[in-house]
Parts: sequence; structure tokens; C-alpha cells
Amino acid sequence: MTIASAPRGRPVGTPSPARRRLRFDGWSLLSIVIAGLIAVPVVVVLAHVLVPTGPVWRHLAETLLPTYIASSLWLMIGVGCGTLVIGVGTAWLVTMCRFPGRRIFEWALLLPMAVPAYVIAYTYTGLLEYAGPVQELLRAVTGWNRGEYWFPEIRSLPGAAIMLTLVLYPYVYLLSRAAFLEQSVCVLEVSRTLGRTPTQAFFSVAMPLARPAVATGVALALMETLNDFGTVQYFAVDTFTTGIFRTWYGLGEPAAAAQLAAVLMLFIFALILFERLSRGGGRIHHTTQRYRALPGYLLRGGRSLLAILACLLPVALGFLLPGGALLVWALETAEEMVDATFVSFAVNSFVLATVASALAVAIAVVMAYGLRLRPSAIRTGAARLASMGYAVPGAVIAVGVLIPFAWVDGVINDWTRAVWGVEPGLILSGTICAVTFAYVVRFLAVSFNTVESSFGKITPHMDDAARSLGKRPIQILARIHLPIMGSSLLTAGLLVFVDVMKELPATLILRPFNFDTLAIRTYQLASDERLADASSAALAIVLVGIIPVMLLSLAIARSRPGTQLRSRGR
Amino acid sequence: MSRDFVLTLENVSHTFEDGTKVLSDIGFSVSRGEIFCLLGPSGCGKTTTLRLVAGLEPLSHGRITIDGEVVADDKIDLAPERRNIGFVFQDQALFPHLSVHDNIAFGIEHLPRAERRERVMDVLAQVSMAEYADAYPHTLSGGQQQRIALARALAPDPPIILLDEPFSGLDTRLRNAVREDTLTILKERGTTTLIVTHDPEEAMYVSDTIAVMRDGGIEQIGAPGELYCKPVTPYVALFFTAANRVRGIVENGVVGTPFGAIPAPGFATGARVLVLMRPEALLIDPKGGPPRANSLGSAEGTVLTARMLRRSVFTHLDFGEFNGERLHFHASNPGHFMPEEGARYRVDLDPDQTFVFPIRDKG
Repeated sequence: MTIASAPRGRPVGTPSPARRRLRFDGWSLLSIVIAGLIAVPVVVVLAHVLVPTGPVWRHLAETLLPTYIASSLWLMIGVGCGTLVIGVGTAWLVTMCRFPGRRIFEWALLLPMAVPAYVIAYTYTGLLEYAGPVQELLRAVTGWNRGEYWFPEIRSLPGAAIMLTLVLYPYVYLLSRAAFLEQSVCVLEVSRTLGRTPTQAFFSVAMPLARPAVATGVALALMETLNDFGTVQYFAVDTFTTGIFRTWYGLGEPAAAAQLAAVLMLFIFALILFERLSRGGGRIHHTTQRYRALPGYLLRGGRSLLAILACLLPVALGFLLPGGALLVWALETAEEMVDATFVSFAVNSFVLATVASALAVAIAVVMAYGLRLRPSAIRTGAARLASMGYAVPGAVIAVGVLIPFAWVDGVINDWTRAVWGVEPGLILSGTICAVTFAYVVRFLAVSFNTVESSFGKITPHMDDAARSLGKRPIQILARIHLPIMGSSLLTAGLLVFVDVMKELPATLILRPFNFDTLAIRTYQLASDERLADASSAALAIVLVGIIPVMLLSLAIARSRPGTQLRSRGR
Repeated sequence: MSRDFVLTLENVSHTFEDGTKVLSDIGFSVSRGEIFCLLGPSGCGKTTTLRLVAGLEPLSHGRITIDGEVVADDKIDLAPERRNIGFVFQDQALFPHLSVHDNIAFGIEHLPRAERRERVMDVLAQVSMAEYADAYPHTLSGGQQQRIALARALAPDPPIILLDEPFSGLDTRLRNAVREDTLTILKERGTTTLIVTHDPEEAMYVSDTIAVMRDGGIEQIGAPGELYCKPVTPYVALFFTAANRVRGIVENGVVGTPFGAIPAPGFATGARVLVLMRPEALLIDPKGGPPRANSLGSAEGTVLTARMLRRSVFTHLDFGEFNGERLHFHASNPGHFMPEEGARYRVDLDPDQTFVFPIRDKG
């Protein structure tokens, strides 16, 4: 028996109870370490349920908690219903009906996704407040004076629900549209031959088939609702996120803030459960693979006008109007506002977003490649765990990051003071370390999903071929996978980049002192009621936000052959 | 250990990580320059065997030796990149972002630049693709891609090359041509080859030796002619062609069939046996002359229908009742004689295509 080369550097003859390659190895260890780090914030928050905070918590529970719960629930109900109706309705119209402008609406309906909720909230406040253009026009036309007329108060809970609905309905639209496109037209046509009208076919066949996707869309929108800080804070609606802030900064009670965050996590878990339940169990398999051109109910006259209006309204209110207002204000204030400090905010945003997206993509590649090399239970579990961050509100992550980071900093400083008599300061919690880490926790799922599906498109035989040609796994990653996946990695990075640019609550809590970003700048100017001055920063965020929307609409356009409706006649 | 064997598997058993048992105690050896084929239906473990040899799947039990070096046993598990084997996949798996030249050079990057280039051009010439060095895989046809995949596997000059259903991705007409080319290249180079296929005709066409696999075990190993003419189990016999069958009980060394008692050597009286008669064994006598000299027996059958299939005529025959069973047999006779529908003919039984197997309890 020749043993010229001992495999894997293990001395030959060492008793080994099992196959080495099956066992624990570098990739698994790395996956676990990453998943463990990513899970730290949520674990910290949940662990604080056990920390006694006595009177503070009792005070919170008796006075504010019911308010937080009630307004969070009302917001969720409002946003849930609103996104459901707008999202599913417009998705049905653009996929199944034919009317002028449909092809434009297909992608235009996604545009509001580019606008962060807090930006649209500031913009509408600027438009609808007493001194804003709408009321001024009203007074000029009618001659009324202050107090002589009633005007709806935008800065209220219903107002917040409307703002959130306007920017979150694209989630539902996107997923229900994809579900409608997947449905076989044959099934719909059968229902027509069995005597259903188009409307009846929608409710009895199309909707039930699309239900899992719709539920996922609504669940995503609701998670974003719970994540929102900027809108509710500005509108003075007491929800969990504002409560966490107030408890942390106002009362100076990190532990109680963490406990509020833990209660908020209950809402998130409930949402995840709801999404799983509505998806699981009766997983629907399409019985036919025949995807012919969609029927394209031809709408004429008044009905087509109604369809146009139904699609135009969400786009206009969610993007065109606020975007236009921002543009006008930005042009008016540009001279004053776009200066060296503005550039430094933009640079800060850019640096943070670049670092975070590079990290998120790199980590996603490590975890996804680990899964590809050997999809063990450990690695799958680690990847699943690490992707949960997307459901966790930024404020919760911020609290969960700051508490342990501050503790580690304290330990380091105590130690160096004892040994060398110097204090290095807040190495973790006082630098961009903390905020970058929070971004990675929150947005890793975004990059992971993209990277994983990109890996999935490369046949495993590619790896096998490369290995039999003498390359080690790490070389294969560098030589085969990364070059092939190039553009997907860029996309993954870009998606994280934009999410980071828009992120507000975690940035607000975790950014280093005097380290302001465009989002922070927008928030601060708006808080000072300088809405017009905030417009240039806000507009910059919206413009960057359009990039992923474009990527998304390209992706759906390519997703299925036969997406195009029959062009002529029936 | 004999030097003649490039690859040896001994007592190889394998269980997937999820607990599925795929191979139980198989063993075989491949001689230098031999084209050895694993033949079996999908799910019989033949591709797993290939992956075990390549090291793409860690071995559970047994021993695998390549070129005198143990690459896998209970202690050793050499990584695939250190086993020095060539592997050609069903889907080619050419690297899409690399040119044909770089694809082939991928496995020989340790060589100096000039030598590498020379080696690449050499193998490219062998597969008659020299002018495609700078092309990218997606610009090539399926057959061309297959040749490049073969060239890529051959470039490092491995002691053995593994082919996993290499022709099944190609359409029928192309398949024969590519198969022919591949066989020529492998034989010219004298490359030791282990090939996997589910197609008996393909196996017979390309192989020196075939191992017929079933449910994770090897039924029989032998030259194609040996397997075809002397199958040791009904499974092997039936894998190459369908056959007419009757069951019977041996009495004094013979067993009764519709064609009369035929010898069942080696069976004790009372043994239950299965008699398989290939369609080729049923020789229809068009003229009604005397029975053939070497015939095992004869019987009269009624023609249900007859069909011309290229070089032979396929006839459905009714032999009436036998052991309480209505016998509907098939005969396949070379030539162009078309038996008349409804007519009765004498049919002789050819001993070379008739096999008697024991019926095991439950099996």
C-alpha cells in the first residue's frame, strides 16, 4: 500500500472514528461563528426579558405599553388592508387585463419602493400642513381663514398608515404579480368554460392560487411597518420603535428598552408564523405546465379609464407627487443646502453603504459556498439563522448591538487601564464598527438570497469537474464561481447598498458621534421643521433607491417567457 | 497487487449521508487500456460508484486503489483534486467563462506556459478541434462541447478517465457519431476508461468489459458477448432484450416447454425453473421442412401479426394454452419473410438463445 501523500495533512494511521470529510471542518465552523455573531442582537434583546428592571418596566407596562400595542396593531391593520387592496388589485389589472399604458404601469407601480417611508411622510407634511401649498391654495380660493375650515391632519395614526401603505404596497404587488404570472392560463380558461365570469374566476381560482404569495407580500409589508421609525416618530404616533427610543434616550434605561424590543419581537415572530402557516400545509402545485399567453381581458371605454386611474393613483401618490415636490424644493434650496457638509454626508453614506454591502456579500458567499460544499444540517441552520435579521426591526438590532458592544468596550478599557494605564475609548460602540455590524445583521438576508440563487444556477458538475482537474474548493470558488457570478454579486451588493442608504433607526442609534449620513441629515432637518431644506438629501436617497427598482423590473420582465399578452385580437 | 490493474474496487459498500444504502459489497478491477462499463438502470448505484472512484463522494466502506495507490479505505480518503483522474460529465460542465484553450489548460496549470500550450493543442488535435482553441463553450455544438470535455479530462494524462453517461445529452443521430469518435480516441491513446451507461446497446458498442449492476450490487462481469450469450441471471439476460418466458419444474434433467422437454443441466428433480427464450431463438420455418439439426424442440404457432423492423421481421405468435396459461410469444427472424396473419407455422427453438434459471424463493 503506497501512501505517498497523507490526505488532508492527517498522519496516516491515526485512528479516526468516522469519515473526516463528513465531520466538523473550517467551513462549518466559519458558518457557525458568523451565524452566532449575527444572532447576538436578537439573543441579547430576548435575554433581557429576564433582567429585572422593576419600577421602570412596571411604569411602562401600565402607562405606555397598551398605547404602543394598540397603535402598532392599528397601523398594521391599516397598512395590511391598504397594501392588500392596492397591491393585489394593480397586480391583477396589469397582468390579466389590457388597457392603454399597462406596459408602463407594470414597472412604474414599483417606483414607490424607492421612497423611504420617512421621506414620503416629510414630503406630505410639507405639502399638507397649514403653511403648505395645498392649504394656501384652499384659502386663496375660498377666502377662509385659520380655524374657519376643517382639514385632515396628516400627522396622525391614519396618516402614518397611508404613508406606509403608499410605499409598501409594491411588496404585495410584486409577489402577487409573480404569482399571477405563474398561474396557468388553462386553469383560468377552464373556470371560464365552467361558467365563471372574469371576476368570479379571479375570486374562485386566481386568488386562492396566489394566496401564499400574497400573504408573504403582506407579511413583508407589515414587517417594514413595525420597522418604521421615521414616520411614526415624526407623526408622534407612539409605537414600539418610538417607545424603544424614548426609553433609551429619554429615560436612559437600556434594559427596559431591550424589553420593549423583546415584546416587539413577539409581533415579528407572529408575522413569521402567519407567513409560514399561510404558505405551508397546503402547498399548491400547479397541475399543468402550459403557460400560454395570458388571456388579457380587453377593457374598453369607462372600464379602461377606471383601470388607468386605479394604477395611476398609487404611482402618482407614492412617487410622482412626493418626488416632484422634493425636486422642486431641492432646486429652490440647492444653492444653500448642497455644500461641503452635504458632500461629507453623502460621502459618509457612501462609505457606510459600501463597507456594509461588501461585508454582506462576502459573508453571504462564505455561507452559501459552505452550504454548496456540503449542505449539512449545521450549515443550513446557520444560514437560516443568519438570514433572520431582515425580519428584525432596525431599532431592535440597534439596541441588541449597543448593549454587548458597550460592555465589550468597557471590559477592554478596564483591562488596558489596569495594565497600561490608558483607555483606548469606545473601540466598538463609538466607531462605524457598531453601525456596520447592525447593517450586516439586518441586510445579510438580502445578499444571501441573491448569492445563493446565483450559486444554484451553476451546475454542481462544474465543481466536480474542477476538483477532478486538481483544484481545491477555495481555488474553485476563486476561479470558477466568483467569475461566473460576477454580475449577481454586484446586484447583491447594490441591493444592500441601497437598503443601507435608506436605513434610519439603527443609524440614528449607532452612528459615531458627529458622523451624519444623508438619511440622518434628512431626519434632523425634518425634525427641525425645515422640510424644504431636507429635500436635497431626501431626493438623493430616492434617486439611489430607484436603482434596485430598475433591477427588479428587469428581472421580472425576464422571469417568464410568454409574459407578454397576446398582442392582437382574441 | 497486480500492476496490470489501473483501478481496483474491493468490498465497496456505500450509504449516503441521509441513510440511503446505495452500494453493497461490490468489487471489480479495470486493466490498463481497458474500456470498462458499468451498465444498469437509473438508481442502481453506477454513477455513485463513479463518484466514489473520483472522490466526489466519501466512501463508507471498502477499498479503492488507483494505479497502485490506495485512494480510499477505512482510514484514507484522498481528496478528489489529488486523485489524478479524468471525469467527463453528462452535461459536459465546461467552464462558461473560459475559452476552450483555458478550459483544457485548467487541469495542467502546473506545467510551464509553453508546454501547457503545446499539450492543449495536442489534445485538441486528437479530438479534431484544433481550430477552436479560442472559442467559448456556448458557441460550440453539443457534440463539440462533448469533445472539449473529453479533451479537458485527457489533458492531465490521468491513469484513468471516468465517463458518466457521456452521450445521453446528445440527440440520437449525433450520439452515434460522437460515440464512434470517442471510442476511436480512447482506443488510439490506450486510455483506461470507466464508463457508466443505462443503454445496453451503447455498453456493448464501446466496452471491452461490462459489469451489469442492479440495486447496488453487481450481477455479472464479462465481455459483452459473454454477457449476451451466457447471462448468469434472468436480470442480465432480460437487460439486453426482452424474452419469452415459461416456468416449469425439472424432472430427470429436463424441463417441459411448449417446444417439448428441454435440457436443464445441473438442476435436481423438483427444482422450479424459469425458461427464457429470446425472440431470436424462435425460428419460424416458412417452408415446413424438417426441423433444424440443433433445435431444442418445435411447436406450431398461429401468427397474430407480423411487422418488418429494418433487418428482421417481428412476429407475434399464439401457442395456445400451456400450464394453464395462454402463451403469446414474440419471434424475431432475420430476413424479409413476412408470415401470414392467421396462418400456422412450425417454430424451432434455438439453444443458443434459450436460458434456464433457477427460481429462488422470493426473487
